[in-house]
Amino acid sequence: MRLLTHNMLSSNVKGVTNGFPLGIEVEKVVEKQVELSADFLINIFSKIEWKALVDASRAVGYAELPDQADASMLDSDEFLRKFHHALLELHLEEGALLCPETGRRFPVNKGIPNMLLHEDERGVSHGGCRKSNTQLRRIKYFDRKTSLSWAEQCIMMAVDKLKTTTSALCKFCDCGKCPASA
Amino acid sequence: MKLKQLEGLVGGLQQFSNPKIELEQYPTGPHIASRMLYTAENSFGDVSNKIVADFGCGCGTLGAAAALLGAEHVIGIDVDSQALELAYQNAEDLEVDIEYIQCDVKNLRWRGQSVDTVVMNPPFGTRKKGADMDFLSMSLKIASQAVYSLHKTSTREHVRRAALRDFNASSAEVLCELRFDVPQLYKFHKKKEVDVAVDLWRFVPKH
Repeated sequence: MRLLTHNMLSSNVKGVTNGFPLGIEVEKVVEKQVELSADFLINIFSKIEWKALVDASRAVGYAELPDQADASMLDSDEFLRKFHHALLELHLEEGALLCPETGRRFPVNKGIPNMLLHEDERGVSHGGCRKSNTQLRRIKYFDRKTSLSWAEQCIMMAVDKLKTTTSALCKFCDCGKCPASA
Repeated sequence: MKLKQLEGLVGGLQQFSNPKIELEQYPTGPHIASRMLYTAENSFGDVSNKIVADFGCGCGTLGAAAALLGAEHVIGIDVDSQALELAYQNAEDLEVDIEYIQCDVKNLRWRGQSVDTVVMNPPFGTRKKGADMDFLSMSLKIASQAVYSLHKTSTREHVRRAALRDFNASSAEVLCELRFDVPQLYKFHKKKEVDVAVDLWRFVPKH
């Protein structure tokens, strides 16, 4: 995982308000050389959270980036080379990312961060909550009671829905707007 | 790179050996994938020198095509670790640099509109209702320039309305109608091969 990706990712654990930047736990870092494109670097500069990049590059053992940077420094070839190296050539190959609020650990294996969440860590946004609600329930019943007929499954689901509406809190989302959580 | 060349290269990629129906894993064929990315690059300049994300990347066809067309940084996101392994292998075979993240697209949280372009062949929502809309909503939050996506032609009006009214799109345009050939992948498929009419969309997010 490049530090550019790290600079975009935020912790996705439910309830976390400021999940950026993720902490870095290093086991192995690899360097892969890529061609430098000044245009790309100049364009991306304004979108980068500089402090997060500096901290991340130090975490993976590269201490050449200055603490502060502004757009005028992009004229310097030396600065561009360092910026390029930190942003695109250093890869966190093995290790983990850490949520700054909850400390939740997201393992990184073969350069791929695993950001899958457990059921109780997921916050579903309101946009798709009605659908995912029924869907989640249906999947649950498929898994558990495959011997039941479709009609029986529907009855089970209706009973389950009644239970959740009376228990005040929706099991699957915390939006407070959907029928199940009302 | 010429279209034919691109189609040839992505045509050589490995596809799912055990596709998972609950994730609606249907591989994006080389014909569609190459045309999608070729149009994005040559008509709109949304690929080369850009940051491109491939949502629900599966075996990584769209992301690989983006990397071949000169994208500076490509990120593939998928929930399925087997698909990611295959995508990783495909990228190695093509000798392109692609990053992968294992995550459910609807649970992604990124800092602002940090990606330039999102390309995706989302689940069409036939198995899991609304899955396509989850993808669309998330992609329009994360892309700053454009989102390219495939949706069934039969849902055209619904997609347009949802994108413009609910999901932060300032424009939604069907670039062309394509035939998505679905081979007999799953047991419940009765016919040998079926063509599904799909639209290639280009959405522009609001800033």
